Amino acid sequence: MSDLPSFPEGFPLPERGLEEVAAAEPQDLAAALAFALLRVSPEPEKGLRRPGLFVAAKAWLRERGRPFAQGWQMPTPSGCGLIVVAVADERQVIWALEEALKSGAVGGAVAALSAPDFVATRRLAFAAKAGGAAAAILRTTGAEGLSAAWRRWRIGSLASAPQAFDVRAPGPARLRAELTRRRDGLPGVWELEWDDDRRIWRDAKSGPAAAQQARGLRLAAGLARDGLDPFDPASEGSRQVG
Amino acid sequence: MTVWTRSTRHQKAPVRSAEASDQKPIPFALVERNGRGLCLRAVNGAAQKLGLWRGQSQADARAMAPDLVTVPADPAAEALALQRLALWAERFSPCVALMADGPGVEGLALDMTGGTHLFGGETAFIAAFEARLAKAGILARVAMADSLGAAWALARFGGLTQIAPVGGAREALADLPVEALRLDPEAVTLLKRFGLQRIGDLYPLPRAGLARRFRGPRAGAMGLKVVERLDQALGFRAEPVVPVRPPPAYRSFQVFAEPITETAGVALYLPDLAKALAEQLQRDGQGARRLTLTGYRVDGATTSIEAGLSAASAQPSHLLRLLKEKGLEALDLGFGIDALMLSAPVAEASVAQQEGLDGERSATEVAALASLIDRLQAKLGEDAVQTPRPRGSWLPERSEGWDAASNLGFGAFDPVLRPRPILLFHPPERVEAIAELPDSAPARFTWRRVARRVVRAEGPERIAPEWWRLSPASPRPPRTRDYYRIEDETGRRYWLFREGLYGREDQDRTPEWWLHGVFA
Amino acid sequence: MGADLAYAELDLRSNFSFLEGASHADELVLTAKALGLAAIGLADRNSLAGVVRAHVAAKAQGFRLLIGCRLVFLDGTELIVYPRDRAAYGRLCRLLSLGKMGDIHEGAEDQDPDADEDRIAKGDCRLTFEQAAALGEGLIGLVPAPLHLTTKTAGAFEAQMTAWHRAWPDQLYLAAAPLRQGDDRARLNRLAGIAQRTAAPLIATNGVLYHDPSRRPLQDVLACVRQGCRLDEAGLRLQAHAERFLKRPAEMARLFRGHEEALARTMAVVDAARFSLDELQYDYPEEPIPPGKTADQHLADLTWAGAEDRYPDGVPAKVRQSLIKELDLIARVNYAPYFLTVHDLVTFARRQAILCQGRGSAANSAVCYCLGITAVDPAQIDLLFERFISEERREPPDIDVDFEHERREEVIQYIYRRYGRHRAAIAATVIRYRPRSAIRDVGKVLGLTEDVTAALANTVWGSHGEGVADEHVRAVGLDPHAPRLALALDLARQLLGFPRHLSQHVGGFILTRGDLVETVPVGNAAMAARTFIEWDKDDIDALKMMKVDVLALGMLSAIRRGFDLIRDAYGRDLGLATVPREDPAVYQMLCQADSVGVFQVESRAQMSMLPRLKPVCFYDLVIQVAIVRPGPIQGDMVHPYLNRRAGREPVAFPSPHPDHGPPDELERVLGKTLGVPLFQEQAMRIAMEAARFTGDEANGLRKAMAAFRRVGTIAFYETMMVERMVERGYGRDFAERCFNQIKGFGDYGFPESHAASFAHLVYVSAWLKRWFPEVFLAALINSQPMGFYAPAQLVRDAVAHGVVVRPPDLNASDWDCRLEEKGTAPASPTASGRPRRRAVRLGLRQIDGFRRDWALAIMAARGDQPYADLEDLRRRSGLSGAALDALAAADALGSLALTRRTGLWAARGLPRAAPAPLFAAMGLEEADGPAPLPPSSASQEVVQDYQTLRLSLKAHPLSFLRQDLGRLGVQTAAQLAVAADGARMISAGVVLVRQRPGSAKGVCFMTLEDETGTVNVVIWPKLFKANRPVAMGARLLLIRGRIQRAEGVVHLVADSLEDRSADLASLSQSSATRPSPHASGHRHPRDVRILPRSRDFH
Repeated sequence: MSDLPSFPEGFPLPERGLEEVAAAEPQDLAAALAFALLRVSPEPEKGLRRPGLFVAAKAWLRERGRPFAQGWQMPTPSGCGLIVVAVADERQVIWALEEALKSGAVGGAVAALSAPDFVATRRLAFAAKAGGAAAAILRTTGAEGLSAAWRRWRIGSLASAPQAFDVRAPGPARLRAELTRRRDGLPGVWELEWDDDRRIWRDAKSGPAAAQQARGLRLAAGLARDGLDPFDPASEGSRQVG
Repeated sequence: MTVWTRSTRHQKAPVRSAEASDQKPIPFALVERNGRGLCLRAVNGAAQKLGLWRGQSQADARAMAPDLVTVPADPAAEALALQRLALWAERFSPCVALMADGPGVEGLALDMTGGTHLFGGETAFIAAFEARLAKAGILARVAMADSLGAAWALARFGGLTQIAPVGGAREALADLPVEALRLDPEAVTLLKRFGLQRIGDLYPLPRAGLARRFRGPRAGAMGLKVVERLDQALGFRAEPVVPVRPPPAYRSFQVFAEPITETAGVALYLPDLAKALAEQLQRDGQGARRLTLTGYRVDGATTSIEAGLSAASAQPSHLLRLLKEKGLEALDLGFGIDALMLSAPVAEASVAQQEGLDGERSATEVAALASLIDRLQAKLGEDAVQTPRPRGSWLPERSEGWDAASNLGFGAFDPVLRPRPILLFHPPERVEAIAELPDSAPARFTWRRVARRVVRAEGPERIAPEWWRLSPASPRPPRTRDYYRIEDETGRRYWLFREGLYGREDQDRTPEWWLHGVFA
Repeated sequence: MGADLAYAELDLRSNFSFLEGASHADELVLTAKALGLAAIGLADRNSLAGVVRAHVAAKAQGFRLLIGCRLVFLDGTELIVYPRDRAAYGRLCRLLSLGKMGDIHEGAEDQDPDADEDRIAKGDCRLTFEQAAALGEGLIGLVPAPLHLTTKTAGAFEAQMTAWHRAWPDQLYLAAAPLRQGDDRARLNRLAGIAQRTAAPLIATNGVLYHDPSRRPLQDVLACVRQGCRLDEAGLRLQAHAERFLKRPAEMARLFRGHEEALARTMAVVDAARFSLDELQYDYPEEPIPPGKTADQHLADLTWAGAEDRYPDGVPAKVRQSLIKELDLIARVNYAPYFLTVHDLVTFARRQAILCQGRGSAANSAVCYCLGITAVDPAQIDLLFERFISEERREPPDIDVDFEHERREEVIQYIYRRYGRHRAAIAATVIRYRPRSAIRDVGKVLGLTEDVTAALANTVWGSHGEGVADEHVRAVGLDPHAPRLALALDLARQLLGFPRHLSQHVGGFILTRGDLVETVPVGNAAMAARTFIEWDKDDIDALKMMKVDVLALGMLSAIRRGFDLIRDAYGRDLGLATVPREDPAVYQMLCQADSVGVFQVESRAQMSMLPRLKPVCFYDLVIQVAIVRPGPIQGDMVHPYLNRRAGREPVAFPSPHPDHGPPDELERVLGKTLGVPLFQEQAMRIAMEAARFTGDEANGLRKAMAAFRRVGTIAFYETMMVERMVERGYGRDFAERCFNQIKGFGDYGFPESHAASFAHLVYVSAWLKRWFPEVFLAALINSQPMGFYAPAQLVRDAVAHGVVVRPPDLNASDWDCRLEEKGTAPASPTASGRPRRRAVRLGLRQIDGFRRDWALAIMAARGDQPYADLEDLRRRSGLSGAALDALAAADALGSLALTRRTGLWAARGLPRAAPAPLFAAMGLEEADGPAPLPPSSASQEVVQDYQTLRLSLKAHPLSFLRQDLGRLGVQTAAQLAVAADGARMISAGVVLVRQRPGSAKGVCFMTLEDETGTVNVVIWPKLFKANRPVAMGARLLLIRGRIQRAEGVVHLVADSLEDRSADLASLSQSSATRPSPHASGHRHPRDVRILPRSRDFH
């Protein structure tokens, strides 16, 4: 992501190595995945155009959903293709991730794991370093136990701001990223918002879009019918339970 | 000496349905579009029996045989097939040339100089050659003469004569039609107008007088061609032959009495071949940069595996390991192979290697990725390692396909103009929802037993089923979907759709709600 | 809910937005009315081609229709416009004409079609917004919003709106449609903001492509056809849903909640755009009227003057009466300018010595005879109906004029010169989907293999009908209920009748007094120097505009040549009207089916009708022309007529029950045709007299009959007609047959008035053949290509009639065939007793590939001094080598004592302009001289004659095979002609013609030729099916069968077929060459071009 200044103050830049990204609650998994993708997309490497890799157990994919590439317009590791590996169990997830990282063939990798043991994380961290790749372990639930990961994150979804031209529609995605552990400094909390025009994550509290958004809000408010609420029982038509 | 083989119908009739294959043969033709419209390019035996012929217009052919099955010709595939046959024929002679004179009249030229005694003489050789081709389902005629031209003529027009004895071309050709000289149709037409129908008719004519009577845009050239072709056929003038590929400088060869059908058999002979090849390389101070192992199949095809070497090598053990890693299983032995060749098509002096260059994905990266994918696929199965590709459909689950990954490339997605979730449930999951009629977003919904209140919603995005894929037999014809992007009170975002339009579709089935994906 | 809402759909495309809109105009009108829309505006893509239909439909429904257009500019931007009034409509037409022609041709004189490299292609429209703005006064504009609104595209659109608003001279709206892409609320809000800032008010539309959501599949198919892709690969190019249909006002209001004023604005446009097509006051051109006279006066003057010429001995009373009556009627309905215009064209043609003849209901009037428009004398034949103009219908009269086919273009260019290209143009023909094209396109899109689609398409003989029937599908071995196939068939049925593109009408000209480009858009035709309007015949009829059909007829060229030859050779001056009438010898000849080359009656079907009908007077020819047509055949009227004529059946007239009307009500209609309806007018007249159709009903029936109206209406009229006739006491069987005949006429209507004009040409050409067969032959060959027979058959027929035909020769032939003194040629037996007949010298045009300018060079340099040798020829004429080759190859060097081979050798041996250095390099500069070329055999000569001249005067190819064939028991055509009925015979001949008419239920008719004549073969379906490859593929066929002889017509009914084509190949071999035993390497015998191909109709 070239537009680095958009990141909030003190936000650690994505870099090579192993991190852990955990959903604050299981329902926050989509936000956590989006954040993990950001973490494994380090600055484009010179001369190297390596694809990204996502590996998960088949049961995980059934339960949590399978990656949808068109929804991954958000950072794709190194922007150069995606390999998705579906395996039988977590043991294979670890094996596949390690193979991928140490091969040096991928630029970034995300692996869905519930609880890797410390030895495994050590191996993975080593492999990421050896392969010059950024890797993230995506965890459905909070991070407990020892880990060799360089950083540990807890990601929660945030309510979006209203959309510029439609107050009733969800605005750009927002999430809360809590750095619970880092080896090179202090933990911290950041709120990020997706900027669809520039295709980057930026600080939810500032950013050029905020002003435009405010303007759009005013405009929309002036045009839309007052008091129109989608759940207003007075609206025409009857209700239906489906 | 030159051997001319003629293969009339080597393109395989793509038999497309099971019932067609064993029942009575169906008339079949390959068609191509030319100046006169759609014309038959090649016909099978059944079509020939009905009187259909190459060059006939498809409309005429269909008028004669309405059940004629036609398939557009694929000249590239035909050329490839001929090329393959030529490679296969290298087992008889290292110098094999393609004679792609036109559809249905393709052929091969083999330089058999001093080679036929290996096969028991000319007659035996021709018999063996034809038999092998016949076994592979290829109808061919083989002829042999002093010159390429004479062999060509005999193979096509020679009737019972397949061998012109040494020095006997003049006599053997005299009664053949002038077409046998490989001439332009215009030249043939003109000769016939002069009443010159047989090659023998040309013998008494003044050659200069004949040559100068060709006029037109390619005037002199055509006249000279006639004389030149005659001279070539009679052996007065040499004709260069360009082999299909230069005979590899380094190759080792092994012929088997009994066809080998197992990979293990190949592995058995491989050390000797590698050793023989390495000796040749070492003798010249060379190392192989590329290896090809070719099996010659009894059905007229070849099968091969190739391996690139990052550095030139002439170590038998190295060459052997490389081929084994590559996987001898990749050789498709079919009904067996009766010869095996190991060659080094690219070789260079064994010196230090260069590093990969900056730029696109460098060669080493490609190799690293390939080997990663190979490893993952080997252990997890090919289907486990996939890469997405856009498929051009509005239906989300059809809009991207997943291919088995390869290092060759990744599907490029255009920026999506409509929001799409990061994770997609396949199949979608049923939810309970309450929504205003006819097409408002739900006010609340229950997914996985958790009730959620909708705070913000956008939609509908309406996507109708792909009607052309419907089968009327299906018990539940799919209905139109209305997709909504929804945010609940906890700030989580979902992709829901209602299947079925109120009052418009399938009125006795109430619309149903589904969750199809989640957004970040 | 929302009943008070008024909404009009203003973004709507019909299927005249080719391959885009998926509904007919009347479907849109009916649906819009039913849904309660206030109005619709039709805005097809760069075209007004569909507006007349929509106008007619809307008028019939009493529904408000706005005429507009969707302008698609070169940069891809779009603007929908609606004219406020007639003047603005005129500007819109001018604008579209500009886009279709580049620049509007004000004068025809400065027209140089070839100079224009950038000529706009047919169907193309190249316009920019600036051009539109320049003519935009009075045009209300609606700008459709872009499909996707992102920050970037919205910004660009806003900039465009700002610029357009500044430039557009009239009201501009921003048209927003709910696209159901998920973001409709945001979209409308966003567009409303743009509308506010750019001062172009937001207006609601729905981007309609079809009247009902059920048309989505068809629209998808059309989109694929347009983009040339299959459905499976069309992907995102298709619409995501079926929402582009007409919606109720209340539904639109729901979709535009929060923007209700955008809905209301549609009514503002409806109120402002008041233009209606009814305002197109049609004015006739006034050119042909001299100053100081009224059109009526002038027409009367010309008519009476013409009558004096036509009847030098005094105008017969009957004719005088007709003229007075007709002139009176013409004056009453104000059609004099029309007659004057036609007269003007005919006069021009006469001045240029272009033969022409009018036909059509108005053409066979006494007025047209006197004006020289036709040559059918009203005194001589009494046409059935004096109602040559329909007074009630107020439709313009119908006159088609046939001109010599090679010179019609002169007449067309005269029209452009005289009336100006801005006032004269050819009408359009709407090319519509027919069963064959529909199934082909749908099949391709659905991914059916070419085999399947071709098989389906081929099941539809002749491409007429109502679609691919299930039994046809089963007949080609496919299951009509297989899902994909069923889908394809269903879609193909829906697609039937959809317009696909416009093409120019064969010769229908529309002429106006004012600027045509302000009445209807005019565009370039595919042909250089041609332009055509966007409306077709029906549209022009509906708007009651004037049309003159300027048609081409090959026989007129031949007859004119014949007259010229007779004048030059025998000094006799003849014209269409002066050929001696009612000559019994001519009728005698026709009764014997001796009609090769004669106009209209030379086909095999006509030939077998002649001996049965036995024409003895002109009116018999009128019937002969009309009877061999689908109408009478489908109506089963042929046999009753023949039986009555032969007296085998009493002449009776069906009559109604005495309570319902006079018993002779049909006698007046059917009297001349012995109680059997044969002509289109008669069938229509029965509807009016016997079924009591009103004028409007009859009109409706006539329209329903026209090809490719959608089904449904026909059945309605069928019930109406049959039931009413039964009710009035007619037999049901007769009523049904009458209706079937009307249905048959639907496709190939043949009214008596046309038949009469054609019959005249039948007579004239037959007269030429009877008395001047050599002239007839030369004239026909010089007018090729035309007619049913190839020169080879024409020559054979002429020779059989005693004409001496001589081969082309460089010292005797011109480009055309000419007549020359017979010299020492033996007198022919049939010519005895007549003045010395000339021989026909075939022209150099007969030589395949010979060019006209070569022939002219030979003729010019030859003068009176024949060429002495080849060198002399080349020196004097400057002919190219290719020309010399062609002469030699055609054996046309006979007068230089050169044969084909020696001639070719010599011609090719002439010294070159420059010596080829290559030759020297090859050591080939040897002395040249005659070469030992093999001699050629007689059969080789004949084969080469056929290859170069397509005929041989030396012998028939079969004569060389006669001995071999004789051994097989084969008899000659001459022997067959005299064989007894039922005799078993074997015949062999070259296949001339194959026919499998749709009406003949699979029977194949074939004509074989040998050296003695032709044999007509009938192959029953079962035998045909079993021998299909032979029947369809053989060039030389041997047939065993039985003779069937009836009423002077002889057929050979085949029992078995044998392909002998290989025998033909042996003809080209010299005796020295034995056939190669290994034949598979040779070309197939059929491939060897020994004889010209047969003509196949299937």
